[in-house]
Amino acid sequence: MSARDEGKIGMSKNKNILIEEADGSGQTLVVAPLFTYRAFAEGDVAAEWQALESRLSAAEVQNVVIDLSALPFFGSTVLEWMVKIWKQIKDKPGKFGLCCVSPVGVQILQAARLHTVWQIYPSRAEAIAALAGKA
Amino acid sequence: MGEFVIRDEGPGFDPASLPDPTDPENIEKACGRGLLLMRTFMDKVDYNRTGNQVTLTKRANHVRT
Repeated sequence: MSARDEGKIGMSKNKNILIEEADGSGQTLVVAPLFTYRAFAEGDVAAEWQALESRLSAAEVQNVVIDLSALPFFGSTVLEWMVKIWKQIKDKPGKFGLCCVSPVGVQILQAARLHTVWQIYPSRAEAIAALAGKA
Repeated sequence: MGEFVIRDEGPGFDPASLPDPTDPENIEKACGRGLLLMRTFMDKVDYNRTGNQVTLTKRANHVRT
């Protein structure tokens, strides 16, 4: 199931950023951006972004998986957004990883050399298991 | 071939003065990757002297390996 499909069945009320607990404890969050450039331009994302930052600052949140399955490509704004999440989690200290990255997305991460510091997993399940120390 | 010219009313900047975002010292900086991505995915990126106008060129049938 892709992040966009999950949005359709109401995993989150957010329109632009889906947030889901990977387990009952809330220790690992899966964050799936759905937004487009237009959403950024119109400021739709700002309120959801603030809510996400607040959620990440909660003590129980230790790990974050960014699920990029809904984004065939992205630009420097999404990279900026992911770096901010990474730093927030790293400082806890927690674990951070990406999953379901498109071939173009991998090229973008490689160009920015972020693939040298971020783990990229093929699926959401593999990412969750790895961050939970089960892989 | 496609050519895109983007200009703003700002004072401009010197693209050569920007820090390398891939340098390990800068990898944790949140911003500063836009020019890198333009240079990665376009065939040509040219700034005017003032630095407030960029011309992006993309050739058709360009296959990146």
